[in-house]
Amino acid sequence: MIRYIVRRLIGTIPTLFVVSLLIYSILQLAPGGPEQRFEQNPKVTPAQIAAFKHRWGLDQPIPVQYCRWIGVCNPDGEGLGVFISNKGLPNFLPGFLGGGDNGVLHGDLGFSSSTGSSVASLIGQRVLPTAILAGVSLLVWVLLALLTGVIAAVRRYGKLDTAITVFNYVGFSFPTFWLGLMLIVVFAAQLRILPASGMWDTRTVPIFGSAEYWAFLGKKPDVAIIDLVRHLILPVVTLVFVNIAGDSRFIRAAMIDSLNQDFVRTARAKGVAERGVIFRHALRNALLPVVTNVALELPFLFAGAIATETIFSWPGMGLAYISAVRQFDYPVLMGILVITALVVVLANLLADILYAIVDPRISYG
Amino acid sequence: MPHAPVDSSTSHGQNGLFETAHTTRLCRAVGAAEEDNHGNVCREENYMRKRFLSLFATGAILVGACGGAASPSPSSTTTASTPPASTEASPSGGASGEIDLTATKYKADEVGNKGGNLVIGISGDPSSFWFNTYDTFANDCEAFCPSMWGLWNNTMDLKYYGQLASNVPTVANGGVTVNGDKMDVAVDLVEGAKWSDGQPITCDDVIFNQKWFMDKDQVGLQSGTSGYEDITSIDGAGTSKCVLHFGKIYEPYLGLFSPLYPKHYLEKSSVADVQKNLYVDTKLTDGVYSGPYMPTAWAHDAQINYVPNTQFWQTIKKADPPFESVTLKFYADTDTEIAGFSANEIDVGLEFNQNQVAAMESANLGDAIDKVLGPTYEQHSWNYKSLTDKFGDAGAKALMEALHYAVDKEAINQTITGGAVTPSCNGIYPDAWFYDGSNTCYEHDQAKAQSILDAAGFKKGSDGILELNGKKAEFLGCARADRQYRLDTLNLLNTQLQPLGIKINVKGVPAATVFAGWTEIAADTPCNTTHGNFDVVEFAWVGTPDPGSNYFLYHSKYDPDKGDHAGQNYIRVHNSDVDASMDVIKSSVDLEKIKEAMATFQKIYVDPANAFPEIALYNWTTVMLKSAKMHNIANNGSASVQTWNIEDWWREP
Repeated sequence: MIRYIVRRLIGTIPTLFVVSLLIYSILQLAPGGPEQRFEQNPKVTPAQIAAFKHRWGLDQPIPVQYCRWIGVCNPDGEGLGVFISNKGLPNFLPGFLGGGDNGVLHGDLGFSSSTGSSVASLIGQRVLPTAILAGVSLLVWVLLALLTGVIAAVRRYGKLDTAITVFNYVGFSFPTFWLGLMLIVVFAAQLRILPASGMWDTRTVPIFGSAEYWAFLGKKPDVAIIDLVRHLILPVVTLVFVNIAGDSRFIRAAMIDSLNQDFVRTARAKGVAERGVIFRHALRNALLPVVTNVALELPFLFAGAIATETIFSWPGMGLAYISAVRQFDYPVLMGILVITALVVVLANLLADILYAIVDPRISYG
Repeated sequence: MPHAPVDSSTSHGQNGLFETAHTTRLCRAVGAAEEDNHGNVCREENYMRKRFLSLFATGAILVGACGGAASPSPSSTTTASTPPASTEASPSGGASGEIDLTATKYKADEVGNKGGNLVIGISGDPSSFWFNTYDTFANDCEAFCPSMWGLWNNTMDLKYYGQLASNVPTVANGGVTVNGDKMDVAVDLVEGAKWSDGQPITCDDVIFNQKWFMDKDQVGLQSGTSGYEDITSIDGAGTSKCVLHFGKIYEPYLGLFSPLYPKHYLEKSSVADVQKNLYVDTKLTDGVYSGPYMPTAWAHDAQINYVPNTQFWQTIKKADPPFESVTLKFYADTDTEIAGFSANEIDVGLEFNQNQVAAMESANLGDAIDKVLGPTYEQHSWNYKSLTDKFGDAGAKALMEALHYAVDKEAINQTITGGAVTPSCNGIYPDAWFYDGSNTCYEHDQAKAQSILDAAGFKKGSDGILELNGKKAEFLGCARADRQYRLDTLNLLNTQLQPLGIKINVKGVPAATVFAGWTEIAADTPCNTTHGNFDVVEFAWVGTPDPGSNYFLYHSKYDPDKGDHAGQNYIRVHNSDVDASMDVIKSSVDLEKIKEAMATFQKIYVDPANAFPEIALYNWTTVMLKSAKMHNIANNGSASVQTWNIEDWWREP
């Protein structure tokens, strides 16, 4: 198993390389760019725009820009010297071996072209809020999907199955942005029982993630947690309601398939209680395809459930992504997209590993 | 009022474009605050409007000087941080001498309560601290202008007051001396004023700022170096009395040094890396500030926290701060901001326009709505070149004249904005001193439009579409795809024109496409205004107090097909009378002459017989939400960002 995991991890390198190259090229080829901030601004001369492009390397051919971004090329080099670090060795080598210090290979995601902030620190601020929203949503959504999927399968073609099906399709049909706004209008603006947006109460709770916040959490954990839960309710409901249908229907189908298998009939014939048949025999087998589904949903959630984060001003990756798109902030976009690609690859690996755990017949030995 | 130039303080300002290619960035370049109310895009315009005032005011001041007619205003020398309260607003229009740019209607109430936390809502996160330096996004100024003051600022009624300067230098009050084609400006800094770290604010800071802006390592200055490059030297090192020596006349001098940065802080970083090293979002407490509230923490897309700047309150305002802390809370859009206000999450909500009024009223926030007429106007730009290419000069002229009569602006108002605006026929802001109120707007008259087209020889083809010279009156109507109300307006226009046999094929395109520069986009990209690949495009211009900004929109030499392709005459109007008016406006410093020329221009603009290829639809409304307990909030449509006088704000218990 370990050898398999290592092999797969090594396999991610070319995958990520190709993905990052594609993303980088698409971004560069798209209309606009960081320099567009100067369009229609007569205060900025063409020479100043050229200087800006030079500073950010935007005047270089795309392959050179990519080469610098990934860390194989040295931004200070010229000609073939671009591959040589300032210490005289190949730039792609780690810094402590005489390589360069720029680019992803050296852990440098660069600086935001719009704010000048470090991309790593910007993304770092966003990871935890997204993880909380995604984690809670995924947990609630998978549990509910399991519950409703199993019930619908066991009571298939009955009234409960029909009710669950209707619920699923209604949820699936709602656009996220519309549902989110409606929830805000009803529960925040009209009933005033839940916050309209954000992750914490501006008037009473310090900024999430700050030293003050952790101190506050230590002093008043009940207030901090209740506040966080209150802010989570609407975005989580939005994400769950809209997304539960797929998994629920998937589980229902897998369960029906499983319940019709010989081993289920055998279990029943052996006198196993119905609950045991369903949960110990049928569900375990039905989970196999579900694992794949859930694993593939992870990166989607990591990327921040963009619409949900935007509607609810949830300060996570999705909102950061939208801001970066608006500002043609290539370094930030690349950082987020490449990390998302990495999560996709790792989530697939996780799914494969879970296969082996869920199904003893599968071995990667 | 002319259009808000991208550049408020440059000598060659352009119009503020509401619509920009880069969702935010192009807008930033042009400054369009109201746009943000529709989708986080052009929030910077508020800021730019503020900057444009500079151009207007300084220009007028110099005119006063040259004309010798301006009389010193009692409020022309003001106390820093306290906008002068005039007894009467100066009249709009009139002779040069009647225009007083420093007298204001604004008068702050005495602070009646102190303490507590003020929470202000706004849609959209600022991009950086460096407003008007490396950025011109309006939200950046809303967020950080209260932290970093400049030498001067504008009140809500387009007047000037000193911030870190205690005087507003003009020729009339002797603060500006003109010597041939050179000039000197005397700046008196507020005596005893200190930066937040206790260091004195002196002319050394002014001298340093000028050199810093002109440093060879500066890259990415959104504010450019206009004005700074004209300063040959600055006297007064180590004192609070500075004299700026300009090598040439620079009218918008009151827009310079806004903000003024602390020398001793900026010296901590190389110029090239200053954005990475100073006023960094994660280390704002390390920064040095001059305004009333200074930032302590910034959680992107969530909030910025501020505390009172003790040095400001002790040495500049000489009063106690009305609030213990201030928070700027960010919302994803105006809908959630309204919901947040309803839920009492915020005391004040900024940056709305007419499109949100209905939502506010349906949320029972009628009493909290504060709205004023804004200088931004929605309009249809017709590409006169494409019309003449199709129908020849006479055909294009007739068609354009007919279009003026055929557009039912009131129907657009009722259908698109729910009756929230007042239709307009003149792009000039009614409060501008050079607005010509003598013009009467033409009435919507479909029959007249029909007769004009008939007389010009247009005939309907078998498909019901008008034809002339074998060319059909079928046009490409463009707008940003993310501005649904504009697409709706163009579709409504199509419905209105259909009975005449005119068809508009409406196309929504990415924001980046509409205003991408000449070399930034393929020459045949549909709906790109620079290359003229449109027949009609809807967007909004931001009117500015600077009449000269019209020069770049309507003078024939700024046709984007010409020269360096940087002109903004997207409508490709080539009218010798307009050119003549614009030449006067640009070359004269006599207010009377400028006003006269602007009157000529406005007559051409509003008379359909002149077939001017821009059709003004309506002016936007600048809206904010405020708690009834808040005091001294002075909303403004055009002058400054809405937090311009935050030091005076206070809240009842």
